Amino acid sequence: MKKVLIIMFVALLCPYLAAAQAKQIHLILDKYEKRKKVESIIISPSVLQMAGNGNYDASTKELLSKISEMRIVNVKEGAEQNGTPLKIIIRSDLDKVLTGERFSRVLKMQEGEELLELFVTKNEEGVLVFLATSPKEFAIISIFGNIDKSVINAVMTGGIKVK
Amino acid sequence: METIDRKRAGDLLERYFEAQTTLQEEQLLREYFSGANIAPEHAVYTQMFCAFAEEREMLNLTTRNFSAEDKFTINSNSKKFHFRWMSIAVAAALAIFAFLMMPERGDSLKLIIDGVNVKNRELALSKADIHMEQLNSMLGRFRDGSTKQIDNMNKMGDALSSFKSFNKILTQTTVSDRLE
Repeated sequence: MKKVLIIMFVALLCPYLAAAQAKQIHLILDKYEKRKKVESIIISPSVLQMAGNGNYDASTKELLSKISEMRIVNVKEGAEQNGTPLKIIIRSDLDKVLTGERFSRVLKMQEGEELLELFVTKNEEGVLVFLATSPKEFAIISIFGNIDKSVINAVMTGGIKVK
Repeated sequence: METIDRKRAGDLLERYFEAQTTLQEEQLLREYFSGANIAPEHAVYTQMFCAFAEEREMLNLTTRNFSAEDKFTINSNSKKFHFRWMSIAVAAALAIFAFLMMPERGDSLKLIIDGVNVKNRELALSKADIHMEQLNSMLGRFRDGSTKQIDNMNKMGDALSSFKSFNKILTQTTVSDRLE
């Protein structure tokens, strides 16, 4: 009986824990978005569209309805905090969250000096985070909402674009 | 109802202003002023003694015994009152809940550059588009690379398939030899 109660409690708590992960990413982005040499863009799903899909059909609507928000934070070369490159500080903050149990790294791609990584919360309700590192900039592209396979596939195949 | 004359009313008024009247005498004064035979010199005090008459009437109304119908009307009125306030409270709570919980809040786009909030929709869209294009380009290279790797693996598989068939023939031959 106790086990059942514990399982039920954990099951009830899971969405909140996933939401907590998304909140942590939000907090990190909030913390650094107003720094010098940093650009931040917050996009609502109504500004997004599916690539090659001029018609806003039901499937597109359904997929975009799963996304609650998209945030892009771009740290340019030369952005510093107390002499330390800001991208290293942000990366360190992000690693504390992304390397936890709630996230899994779906993709790591190194090409020359460019590195692209994709992290997704293990639960569907959460966040998808791209980290694009190059000598010139460090970009964090995060998509919040119900991140299921269809959203991951759409993102991976370059399916989601800005209007 | 006892009535008092002009003189008695004058005496009582004097005692009233000296706070020496009894409750019964005050009642007599109220009755005198609510009547029609008020002396002209006392007319100025009429308002003072009749000002609360209406309110007293109301109080008397609430204390009287109500009939079943009256009770029902009063209850239904108070219920209506409560229901009205409750419905307003529920509507307000729902509106606040929807505002807090609704993930989509319209066509919003926010751009911050170097800590400055830039209200330029076109610039925000173009910057977001550039980042998405860069991301898609990197992912495209990843997809191409993966496809090539899969193709190479398929080619390797095709090349190995002839060996597999050869191995199968050899196995069959060995088994038939053993049977003989």
